[in-house]
Formats: sequence, structure tokens, C-alpha cells
Amino acid sequence: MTPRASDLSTLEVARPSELANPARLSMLGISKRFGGTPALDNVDFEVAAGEIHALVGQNGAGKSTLMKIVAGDYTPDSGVVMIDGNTVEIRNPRQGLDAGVGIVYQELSLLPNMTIAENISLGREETRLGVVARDAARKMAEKALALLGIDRLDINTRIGRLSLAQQQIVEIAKVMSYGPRVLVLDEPTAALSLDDTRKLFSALRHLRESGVGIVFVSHRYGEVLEICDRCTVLRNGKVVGRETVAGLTLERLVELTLGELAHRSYHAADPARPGSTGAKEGPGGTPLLRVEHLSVGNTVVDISFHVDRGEMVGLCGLLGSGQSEVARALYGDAPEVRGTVALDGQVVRLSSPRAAAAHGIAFITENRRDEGIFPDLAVVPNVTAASLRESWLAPLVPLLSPRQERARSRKVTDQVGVPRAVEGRRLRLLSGGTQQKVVVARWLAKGSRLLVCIEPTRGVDIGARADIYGQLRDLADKGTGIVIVTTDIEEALVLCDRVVVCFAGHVSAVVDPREATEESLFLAMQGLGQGSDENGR
Amino acid sequence: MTGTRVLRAVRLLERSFLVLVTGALVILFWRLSPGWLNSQTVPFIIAQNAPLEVLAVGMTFSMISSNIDLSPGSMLSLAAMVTGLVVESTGSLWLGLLTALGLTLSVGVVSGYLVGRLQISAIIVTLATYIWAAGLATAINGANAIPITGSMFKYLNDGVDGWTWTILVVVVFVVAGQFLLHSTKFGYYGRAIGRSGEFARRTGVPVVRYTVYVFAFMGLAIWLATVLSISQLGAAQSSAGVGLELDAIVAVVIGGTRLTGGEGSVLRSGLGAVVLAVLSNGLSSLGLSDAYYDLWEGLALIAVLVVSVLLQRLVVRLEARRQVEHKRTSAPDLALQAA
Amino acid sequence: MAVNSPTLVGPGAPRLGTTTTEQAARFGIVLIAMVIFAVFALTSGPFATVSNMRNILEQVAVIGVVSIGETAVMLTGGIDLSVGSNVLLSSVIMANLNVNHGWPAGLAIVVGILAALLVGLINGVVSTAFGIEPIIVTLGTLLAAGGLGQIWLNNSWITLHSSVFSDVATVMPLGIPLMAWIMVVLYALGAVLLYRTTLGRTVYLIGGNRSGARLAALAVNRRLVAVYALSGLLAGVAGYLDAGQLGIISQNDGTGLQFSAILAVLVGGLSVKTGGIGRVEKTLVGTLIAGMIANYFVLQGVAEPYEQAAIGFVILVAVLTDHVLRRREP
Repeated sequence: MTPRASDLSTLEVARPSELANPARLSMLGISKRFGGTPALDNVDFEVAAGEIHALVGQNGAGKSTLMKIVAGDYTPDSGVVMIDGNTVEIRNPRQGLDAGVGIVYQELSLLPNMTIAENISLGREETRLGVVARDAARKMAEKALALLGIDRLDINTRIGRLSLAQQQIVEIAKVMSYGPRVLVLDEPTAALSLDDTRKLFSALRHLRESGVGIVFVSHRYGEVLEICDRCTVLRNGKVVGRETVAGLTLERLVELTLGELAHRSYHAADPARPGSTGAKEGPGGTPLLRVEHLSVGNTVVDISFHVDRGEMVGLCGLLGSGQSEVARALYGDAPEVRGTVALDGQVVRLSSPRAAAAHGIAFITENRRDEGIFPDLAVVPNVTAASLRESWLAPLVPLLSPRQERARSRKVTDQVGVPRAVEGRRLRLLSGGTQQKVVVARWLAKGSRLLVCIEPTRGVDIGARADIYGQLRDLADKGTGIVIVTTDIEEALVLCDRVVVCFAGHVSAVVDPREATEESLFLAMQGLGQGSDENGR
Repeated sequence: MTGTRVLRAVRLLERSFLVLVTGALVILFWRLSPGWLNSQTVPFIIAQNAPLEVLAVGMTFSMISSNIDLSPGSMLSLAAMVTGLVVESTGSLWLGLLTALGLTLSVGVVSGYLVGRLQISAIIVTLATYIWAAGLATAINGANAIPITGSMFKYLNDGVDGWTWTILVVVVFVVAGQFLLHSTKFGYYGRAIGRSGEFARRTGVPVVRYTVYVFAFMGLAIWLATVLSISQLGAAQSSAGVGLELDAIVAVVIGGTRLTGGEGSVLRSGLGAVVLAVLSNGLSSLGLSDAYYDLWEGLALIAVLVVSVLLQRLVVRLEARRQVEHKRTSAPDLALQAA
Repeated sequence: MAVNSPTLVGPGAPRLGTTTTEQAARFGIVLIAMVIFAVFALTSGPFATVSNMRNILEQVAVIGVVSIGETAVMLTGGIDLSVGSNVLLSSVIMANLNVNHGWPAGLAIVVGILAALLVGLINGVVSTAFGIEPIIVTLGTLLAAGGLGQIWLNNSWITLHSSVFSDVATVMPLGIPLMAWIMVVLYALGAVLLYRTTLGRTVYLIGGNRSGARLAALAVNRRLVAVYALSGLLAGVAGYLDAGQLGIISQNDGTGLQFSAILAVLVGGLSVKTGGIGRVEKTLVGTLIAGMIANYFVLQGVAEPYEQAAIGFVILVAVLTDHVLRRREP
């Protein structure tokens, strides 16, 4: 193992300018706690000039906390951040940029109605007598794009007309035009196709020549091995590996990521887990849900799987592999869907959420803030939102009396563990975990054949998480089929009866949690699965 | 490929829509009342609706930055009456006009601050102005006009064959507005704010300051419209601006700018105002009352919007089809290949 | 992304399950109304008399009824600018059919109300089917319906003779004009609709989180059409009341009514502290406050334009106060 930087000597002695290859970014002894839990524990992280350095680790291992510290969103409890050997204090994103740190987030900050040149120079336009100097903007844009090796993109094109890959590159160019020494890329390939990824990588290689230190945060180990020079692995807030990529194998990387959990198998070791009691076949052996050759837009190419009544099936994959789109398609909320979906043997057309709900499908979104909760309404109306009595004569259809409605709501909120004390408070004021429970309660109140949920425990504390798991298990035991989209391996293995792994829009493996290990699931998510085993019966 | 040709035709239709509509209207009225169209008609129409055209320029910026402004009509009336008041008491036209400018600019600045800094909805703020400004305007001299004369006005109304200096002023203002929109920070930032205040903020655009500028600019436009209105009427009238803000909004929307903001064109808003002007003038030449103008204005607004949405949807569908065809036959994306 | 769209200060939590503090805060606007009443009563002799109260009620009835529909529309995050013209159009149709064509008053009134309903339907359908902002669509119908109404009025006026019309102002059960009773009943019905029916609950859900409502499998577009249709329907009823009150239909009827309605909603919706805002009974209070202010100015002999100017300033002050007070919220 590479000796850790802090092992060499104390900071006073090892002056970075004396090192062979002065580090662009040096984070030494970084620790950060949130409440009682340590998110980062004495982490050293260094990126040299002209290198692409991967930062990897599972969700919750500390990657995003570390990057938030670099970005200025968090301040470390202890430790030092240095850029080009100079200690810096970054308290907000603006300071970060001034200090020489540029961050490219997954959500692009480009304005689609303005051109590339206008976007890159936005906020810093040079003016001559009040008139924007277009040539200065042009030069800035062209210079920035040249850093990425792009010289044939017309800077007068509006962002709205560019492909996603092109937009991503413009976003990087925009950040680069501020002249940062360190560039952090947060999951840059999550939404890109293989083709686009290749283009992005050639741009990154070009960028490397300019001497900037690039941090490549990613879950995609195949790509990490392809493009990066070195790699730092975090696990549970600590650095567990710092490797040069040349000579590094995927297996070694997975081992480092998962630690001793890599070979743990869940179901065999856990007697408490009830085991797959749920899976029931319908009459004649038809599955509750059968999806055949589903394709959604550009992300999902060909996915087939089935769900039996009472079965919990996990749809796992790295971000952008297509599992979320499949889930949305099952709820009528995806454009350009092709393929067949059959419920209890009958082919259905799911053209809208209403159509899906009419067929008995329920949906829990991953984005509860924008799509899930009604922030200014209390718990009870939030819970009953999906169970309102419908009819053409809606104006005349009476709601249940307040007492009845409250009783109905309490039946499910008690079940999921929402304390009655907060019943009357607006959702906006409740914790993420409680909010999520309310959303779950909403669909429990409705009663459905199939429940589709995406990241049902994202941003939810441990206690609430356990409650929600219990609820889902109960639901399955009562006969509802459940599809869970998740990127959390542990969740998938603990909760599901079967895991369908998606990679690049295809099914890369179907895994039985009783036989799988975290490692095998992880590898499957990276595309190294046993191939689409998912046949119908 | 027929796909591309149809697409190009539809896009051309979208772009020349306004000109086509204007032309169609002119022809329609000419057929209905042959004596209507003569060499003086066009300049007359443009000059007669100068205040609206000027307001449309200001309203374009408001709507592009995603703020609707209901105040221009009442503010115009008020500014006119204030001018009249000052002229009556001091005898100086310049002092009067200066006061009016101070009034419209300061109201603009305050409104911009309330909307930009305190984040109060633009509708509420400008609605309040709409109400109190109209009230004050009437309070000054009741329903009676205050006659205002000056050599400046004589000059503005002077011209060749109907082509007065007023028209030049309007044209210059429209062109200046278009220039501001496309080539200055004011225009850039206005568009950025309109598309997404959040993004703009993140990229370092001073949102508050530029929101104030947008409203202040409207104040300037209102002042110019006031001058032109006084010149036209020879007096300050408290009813001068009634309904103009709605007309201005209609002109801008017909010109293709939507309240969702981010894009628009001052030139097209000007054309939108001309469409309304032709409509108004044509209808009155047929002896039809103002009510007919309102009716057709409302119908035209809805019709234009519906057609534009349908055209947009058609374009999207055709483009999607073309992309699919393109993918099958295209060469790799050269623009992205690095050296 | 809809920056600066007119939103109420939060759609209200239905009475069900709000905490005591929220309930107390909700009635802040009632307190304000009472304070205003007290001040006016003390400073103006004729203000607090029974006949003046009756006067106020009669004056606010038309606006009050229209404001019910406007409340519902604004709760969904939209706005209806067409109500003024709708009132004019419906009353013109009623009067025209009854006086100029000899139709029985009742039938004429029904037709007028249906016409207004139709305008509301157009508003709803066009804005949902084509995704056009309601403020622009209703601007179009404001102009078109207003123009149509004026055209049929043909630059003159229509005098009504039928008692079916005048009864709303002259019949006074318990000393209060019938039109005021109608307004109150409609408010009660409006409250029932908003708080105790599926449509009403959907209105709050749509206003609270449009995408959330869609994902909760609600028929968002259909309900929106219903809400705009309702606003149109109420404008039609207000047209009837207006006709009855004035006895004569003239060109200026309904002018600016939409702004008064929006005002009533905003004044009612502003509260001392955010709590359960967005309830139709608060609009009623807002209407009454506006009515009291207007009445007071008349009693004090303030010329109408000054009154108007003052109202405009009052709005600004009210909005600012509300803003400042809300900043102190956690």
C-alpha cells in the first residue's frame, strides 16, 4: 500500500514545493462529524498536477462530504486544505473558485436559450462603452474549449441545440475558463452513452495536458480503470486504498470498496429474515408483472423481467443505467416507451400516471420534495391525496368527514410509524424520514397490486429506514408485488427476493440474494454480470 | 429528405408569421373598405399608435425577465397629468417633462426593488401601481384635460407625407431596444434572470440590480410614451393610458415572447404592436367601435398563441423524426472529436 | 421556474388538523377587520349605522361573489383576469334577452349565467390543452368577452324592469338585501366545495405541488378546467346581481372587477403570521375590508380618485408588512 502522506513526516517538514510532483490539491487529516456520526475520519487526499485521480467509494462512504468541503459547502472539523502548497480556507463556493477549485456538478448550470459563448462568459462579460465585447467572449470560449481539445464546435450555437455530451463539455469548459488548478467532476458520465463517454474522455485527456489536477468522482469502475491515473478508495469515512490504476484490477477495487463485506452473504447468515415467503404465482402461473423488451428513450435499450405476486424485486444499477426510467415507464411517466408490459397476463398501455393507477400500480418517487409531498398541507391530507373518491361529478363528491379521514389516515400512519403528535403539522416542517413515511403511507392507504418505488429510503435516517423496510415487507407478504429501484447494494440484498441488475440499458444479471455476495452484485452493476438470465417462464 | 424540407418550411412559417399576419390584415381591410389604404395610411397608423409601440419595447424586457408589468397605462396617465400640472404652474415644459421622468423612473426603481430584493410577486406590485397611479391621475384634474403646447410637439407631428418625426423616434427606440437586448449586459442578464433566477444567481449575475434596471427601463419607456401621447393629443388627459398595458402585453405576446421568459425580440414586439395598430385602424375605418377592436384583439391573442403552440409541437415532432433518420445515416459527431 | 407568478402566501391547510397556533394566526385578518371597523366607527358618525352596513353589504356583493371563483383559481396557482368582462357579458345577455326579446327573466338569467360558464370553460380548456399561462389566456378572454358585451350593448344602455332583477336589492329578509344573502350562501357553498369535496381538495393539492398532484394520479387538467369554469359561472351569477342592483346595464359595468377580486383575495390571504392562508372565508373578510375602506372614503367625502389612490397604497403597505412579518418566521 502506498504510504500515506501524513506518514512521511509532519507538515512543517514536507514542503510541497520540494516534492517531486507538487500536488495541486492536498487535503490532509480531514475529519468531519455530523451529530454523532463521523462522515470523514482523518482523510488524506492528494491530487497531483496533470493527473486524473479517481475518488471512489459506496454511497455514504464520505465522497460527497469530502467534495463538499472542497467546494466550500462544509468546513472540516479538523485538517487542512492546500492548493498548490498554499493553505486555503474555503467557506463558500465563490471562495472555492477564487482559491482555484472548479466543480462540475451533475446538474448543469447552463442557460439553454443562450449561446455557448454567452454562457461561458456569463457574469464576466467585457464591455466597451456598455456594449458586450463579443470577440472577447468568443476568445474566452474558444480558449476554454481548446483546453478540452475541441476546436470545431460553433460557439454561437445555443445550448438548447446541443446534445447532452456537448453540453457537459461546455459546462466543463465554462468552469475551466475561471482558471482553476483543481477540477472536480461529480459523476460526469452518469447520463452519457458509451459513445459520449468516449468523447468526454478524450476531452479530459486533453485537459490533463494543461496541468490541472482532475478529481474524478464516479461509481463506474470500468471507466475509472480506463481514464484515471490514480485512485483513492473511501470506506466508512476512511481512506482504505490509494492505488495507481496501472496494474489495478476491478476485483481489487471492489474488494477495497466493500471490505470484508465483499464476501458476506446476507440471507444465509440472517435467520431473522423471513425468507421468500411472498412469491406466489397467479392462476396458471402468470406473474403479476411481466416486462418484455422495454425500451425508454435513449437510456433503456432492452430490459425484460417479471415480478410475481408478493415478490420484492430490486432494480439495481449505477446512475444512468436505466432502472429509474424503467420504473417511471411502469407508472406512465416516461416518454417514448416501447415494448410490452403485462399485468396478470393482460397487456396494458400505461400512458399516464392516472392510467397506471387505474391498473392498480402505485409509485413512490425519489424526489419527494418536488414530486412527492404537498409541503403546505398537513399529514392527513397528504396521506389521503391518492385515495380521493373520483368521479366526473367531482364538485359534488363529498370527502370523508374530518374524523373519518383522520381515522383512515391514522390506520396507515400508525403502521408506518408517523407519530400522531405531528399529524396536524405541515409536511414542510417535518424531517425527511417522516416525510418519506407519509408518502409511503399514502400509497399504503390506496391499496395496489404493484408498488414501484425509486430510492425509497434516500435521505432517510436509520430508524425511519427500518420502519419503511418493515412496511414494504408487510405489503409484499399480503400479496402486493413490489419493484424497488435502488443503488444501495445492502438495501437490495437485504430487502429483495430477487435483484435485476441493469447496466447501460440492458439487464446485466439477475441475482438471487440468498446466493449472492455484495461483490457479485457490485460487479454485475459494473457490467460484469452473468448476462441477461431473465427469461420468462 | 422530405422530413427536412417540411421542417424548414414550418420553421420559415414560424418566423415570418407576424409579417404574414400583418400583410393579411392589410389586404383584408383594403378589400373591405377600398378607400382605406393610401400612401398616408401606413405612416398614420404607426404614428397614431406610437405610445403603444414604445411601451411594447419596455414590456418586452419585463416579460423576458419573467416579470409582468400592469402599471404602464396608469403611469402614463399620471405622468401626463403631472407634466400638465407642472407646466400649468411653472410655465416650463422642460421642467414638466423632467418631473415626469423623475416620477416614472423612481416608481420603476422602487417596483424593481420590491420584486427583485423582497421577492414580492410582480403582479401584486404592479397591480398596486396600476390602482394608485390611475387614482392619482384622475385626482389631479378630474376628467378634464390640461392643454399642453410646445414647439417640440409641433416638430414631432411634422413630417413629409405623413411620415412624421414621431415615427423616427419610435423606430430609433425599437432599434435601440433590440440592440440593448442582444448586445449589452442589460439584455444578457435580463434573459438569464428570466430563464432561471437561480442559475443566474449562481453564475454571478447581480439579479437584484438588473431586475431594478428592467423596471427602470420600463419607466423610461413610459416617459417616452407620455411625451408622444401629449404630443398626439396636444394635452394631458387622465384617460390617455387606459388599457395600454394590456395592449402592450398582447403586442409582446403576439410578437412571440412568452411569460416564461428568457427569449424574445424587441423587433417582433414592435411588429406585434403594428399588427394591433392595423387592426385598430382598420376596424375604425369600417365604422366599427372600440368594442370590436377589443373583441378581435382578444381573439387574435388566443389564436396566435394556439397556432404558435401547435407549430412548435409540429416542429418538435418533425425534428425528432429527422434525428432518427439522421442517426441511421450520419457520420460521427466531428465537432466533438478532439485532436 | 415560474418566477414572480402570483401565488397566494401558501395554499392553506384545511381546517383539519392544524395546530392551535396556526389556527390563532389564521384569524389575524379577522382581527385586522375588527380594528378597521372600530377605527372607522369612531372617526365617522354615519359609518356604524345599520343602513350604512346594509349599504356596504350591497356594494360588496358583486365583488364578493366573483372573488369566490378567483380564490379557487388563485389557489391552483393561476389567475383569472376575465371576470370583469364576464360579468358584463352575462348581464348584457340577460338584459338583452329579457328586455329586447321578451324572454322571461328567469330563463334570460340562466342563459346569461351559462354564457359566463362557457367563457370560463374556454379559459380552462385553452390553458390546459395548449399549456398557455392562464394570465395570458384570461387576458384574451377579458378582451374578447368585454368586446362582445360592448358590441351587443351597442353604445347605449338597457333598463331592466322585471322584479326578478330588482328583487336582489329591494327584497330584504331580516333587513339585509337579498344579494348579500346570496353572496353569503355562495361563500358557504364555496367553503363546502373547497374543504369537503374532491374537487376542492384537488385544488389545494394542485396548488401545493403540481407534479405531486399528477403523480398522485389526480386528473389535474380536468380539475383545472372545472375551476376556471366555476369562476366563470360565479361571474355569471355576479352579473345577475350587478344587473339587479343597478337596474340598468351600461358600458362600464364590470370594468376593473377582476382587480378588485384579486385584491380581496390578496388582502384576505395576507395574514399577520402564515397560518392556514388561502381559505375562502378569508376572501370574504378581505372583501368586507375593501368595502369598508371604500365606504369610509365616500362618507368622509374623499373624492373617488383619491380613494382609489389610497387603496393602491394600502395594498403596497399591506404586502410589505406581510413580507416583513413573514421574514421573522423560523
